[in-house]
Amino acid sequence: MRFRLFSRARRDRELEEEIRAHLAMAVRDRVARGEDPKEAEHAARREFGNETLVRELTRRMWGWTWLEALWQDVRSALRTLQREKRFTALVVLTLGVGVGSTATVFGMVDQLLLRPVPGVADPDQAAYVQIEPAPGSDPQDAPGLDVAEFDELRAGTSLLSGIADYGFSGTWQVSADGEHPVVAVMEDIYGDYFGVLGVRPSEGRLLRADESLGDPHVAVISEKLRRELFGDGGKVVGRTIQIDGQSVTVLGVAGDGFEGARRSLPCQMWVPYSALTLYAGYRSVEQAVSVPHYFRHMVARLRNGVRPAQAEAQIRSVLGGISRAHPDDDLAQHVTATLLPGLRVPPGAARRTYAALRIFFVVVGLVLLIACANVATLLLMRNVTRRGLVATRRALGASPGRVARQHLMESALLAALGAVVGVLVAWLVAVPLAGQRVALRMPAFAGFHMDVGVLVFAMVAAAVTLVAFGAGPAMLAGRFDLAGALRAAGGSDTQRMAGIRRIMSAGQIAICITLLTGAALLVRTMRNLYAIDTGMSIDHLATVDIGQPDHLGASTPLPDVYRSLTAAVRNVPGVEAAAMDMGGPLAGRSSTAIAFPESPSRTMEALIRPVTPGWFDVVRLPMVRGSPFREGDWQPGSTPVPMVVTSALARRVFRTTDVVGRTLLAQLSPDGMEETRIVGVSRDVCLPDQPDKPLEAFFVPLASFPVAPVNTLVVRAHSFDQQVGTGIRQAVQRVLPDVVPPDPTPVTAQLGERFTAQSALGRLLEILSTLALILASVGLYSVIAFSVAQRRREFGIRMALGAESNRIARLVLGDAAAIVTVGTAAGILGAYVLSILLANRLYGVAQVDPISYAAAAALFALVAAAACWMPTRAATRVDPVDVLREE
Amino acid sequence: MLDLTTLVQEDVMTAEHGPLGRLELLQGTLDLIILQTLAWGPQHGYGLTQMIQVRSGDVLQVETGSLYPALHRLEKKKLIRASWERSDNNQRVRVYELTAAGRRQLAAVGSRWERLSEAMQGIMSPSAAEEDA
Repeated sequence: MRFRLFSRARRDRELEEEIRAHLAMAVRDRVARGEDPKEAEHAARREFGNETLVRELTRRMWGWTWLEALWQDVRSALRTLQREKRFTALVVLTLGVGVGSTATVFGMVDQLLLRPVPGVADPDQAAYVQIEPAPGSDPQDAPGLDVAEFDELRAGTSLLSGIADYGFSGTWQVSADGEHPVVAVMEDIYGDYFGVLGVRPSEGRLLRADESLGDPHVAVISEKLRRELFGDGGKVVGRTIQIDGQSVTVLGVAGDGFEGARRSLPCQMWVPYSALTLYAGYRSVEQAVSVPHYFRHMVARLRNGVRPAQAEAQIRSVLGGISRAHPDDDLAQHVTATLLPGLRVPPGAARRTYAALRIFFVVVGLVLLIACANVATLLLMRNVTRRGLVATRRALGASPGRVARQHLMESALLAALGAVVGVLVAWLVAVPLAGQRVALRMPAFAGFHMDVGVLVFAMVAAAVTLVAFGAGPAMLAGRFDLAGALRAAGGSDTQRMAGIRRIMSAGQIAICITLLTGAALLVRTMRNLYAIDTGMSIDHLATVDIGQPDHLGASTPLPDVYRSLTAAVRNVPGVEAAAMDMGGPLAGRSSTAIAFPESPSRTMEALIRPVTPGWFDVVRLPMVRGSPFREGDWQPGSTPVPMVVTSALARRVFRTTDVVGRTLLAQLSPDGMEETRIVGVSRDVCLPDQPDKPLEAFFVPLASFPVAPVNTLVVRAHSFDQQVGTGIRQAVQRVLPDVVPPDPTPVTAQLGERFTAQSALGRLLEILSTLALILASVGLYSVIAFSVAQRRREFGIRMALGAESNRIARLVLGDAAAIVTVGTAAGILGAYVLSILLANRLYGVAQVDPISYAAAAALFALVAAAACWMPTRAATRVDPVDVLREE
Repeated sequence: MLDLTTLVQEDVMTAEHGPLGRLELLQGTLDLIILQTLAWGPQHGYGLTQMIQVRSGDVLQVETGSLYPALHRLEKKKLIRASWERSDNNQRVRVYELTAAGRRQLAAVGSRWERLSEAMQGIMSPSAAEEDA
């Protein structure tokens, strides 16, 4: 390209020399024929004709390649855009925000709703079967099937070629070499799970139906987990991996990127149902099988030609038969089944995700609409200010086609720049969204996911806007009424259009204020939540999960193991104190039955917190009455088991906190109730997500609760640096050589995890409100600037008649103030509606929180002032002489 | 049949100077004349105007506004090529010469022109004779 342009300049010089030579020779000939030199020169020039024209005509013969013509148009368009910097920046920014956010959210929807679950063959014939509470029954009678009932269902559903159950069975540390643990999600499966889904192994084999109750020490892993554990090469089939300290043999790898049937929680390893004996605390397969009402989520495959409705009816009728066959089993009476074909809409909790997605969809659709509307306004304004320029170009001989081509090129450049910014915005939006996906129950983004098709869609929308409102009107302006356009470059817009633009701008402001207020409410909620008193002192506390090694307590009594562990950790330099519990101080969702010894059959629910002696000192939970149980107070197998109850539980059960010395029955193992004796009453304990509801919990020695699925070290230290972390790991491994403990997690960080819903929502609202703020300010700017551009003549005349610039400024700002006032009022209304929707996510903030509302309105007022500053200044600097000269 | 439009267009007859004055030439004709003139040897632009004028017995006057565009067009079509040379009185001049493709083109178009010219002669000669008288 550059080379061609150089060669062009050279040819220009050569042509000039050629013509000079021609003239020189002509003059010389004439002089030789005896003409006067001066006369000869004139004659030669006359004969030659118009030198410029000859050059121009000749140059035309060289021909423009289309590339050169394009380059010329691009350069011309770039110059124009550079001259109108503000206009360019605003259009590009607006387009970028619109295109980028649309592309991301559409990409998410595409991934969640439209794409088939990876690895599943013929997904249209596959379906989720969801066991749900029957209408009118209490959801607390949590319905589900036991193994025998599931077998009956499988036998009775002839319209299905297969049905299998799967269940989430925890997130575990997995390690191939005992050193570098990775975290993976596990599902236990019952039935021909892989056969029903049509998953193919990429290595080895998958679990068969007849293995569901067989050897528990086997697993199938996903391709992702294979890479994380073993890299890309080598043989993995038959190798042993450590899952939570258990040695498990890898049977094979699920192929085609299969990560489970549900999109909401990708899974990396699958174990037979029998493996619940290893991971869920069941002592035998028989016990696991007899657990009632376990199965709730199933997958099925329809036989060819069977309609989903037929299959669903059959499943329901088989379930009805099961209920009738077991009239004593009242839980079986309360279930019904729903078939969700195509594996499109995932069952259960993920439905909320779809509600959230729909809201995103609407908001982002609005964002794109606003962006296009803003671009339209900006372009119309530009066309008004430019009408004179186009007319001048036409008058100087540019063809309408040429003018149109220039405008099209400008539009194309704007669209391209908008796309670049759009990709940037999409990335900025996608990254925090990906970070929040766990809280929102969204599947993993494969890195930075953005659909190219969606980007193209958004680009086309933007390009159509550009052409419709930019190049189109400019072409018309170029074609019609040259003289008129030249005379009245100010032009006039119809009142109706101006009104519509004002309403649009007010609407944008309303959306913006709504989102800003929502964000402010959640930010304030977060601050309140972090300030909550849990009853414990959780600063400088960290937890280390060490799982439940299978030999724990096999050779040494559990209390001794716990004692040596905590002693070893306490000796690590930098560690102040250590104890153990189940899941850390902020855990506490496990409940069990308690009863008075007088009436053991009348059970009550209470939360159970198994802890080692010394735990109360480590977390600094003071006693209101009595004292905590101490080392040596209790030996395994002996009764009564010492117990500490929270004040809240004491109040509920005994109506008083003066309960030291009282006895209770508590179910500490699947075998039955054990006698306990209350030795202390603690201060109330609150979990951060329910600050107003003190836990009704009791504490017993950790060793008395053998089914604890996870043993957690609770460590107090001034700081948890690398050295302390390594020290703790080495200390743990001195006592339990097989365990690979993870790094310590500060409890305050878990506090944050507990607020994921709030923080994720807040983060999204922050992003969306920032986008809305940008768009609304651009919108306001363009409306005001447009009206200033149109009223230039009016302002000029006013000034010529003696109006001061103050007065002009007041005219413009009054216009803006009216729009902002209406928009803010509507926005506050919208914010009120939003705060009702958010009500159950707010804490310590009134729904009508004046601070949040005022903050949002003030922030927007600030931005609005900035947006109005430029056009107002432009209006007050109108030169009456200039305006009148344009007439 | 010959395709007349490639060689002569209607406009050629509207030349201001009349049949005996100087004729303005149209593109196809001019191209043919240039190619034929260059067939006698390489020549620069000014030399071409002189030669054409002399050879046509002062009937044909080539406007520079037509000549140079035609030369550059033929060069672009690779029918002729140009090089810078020194003239007799040490003037740097751009000299054009026929290429092989130009020679082929001349042969093809030239024979068509001859046939056209014979045909025209047949049609035009009686009246031309009357005018002479």
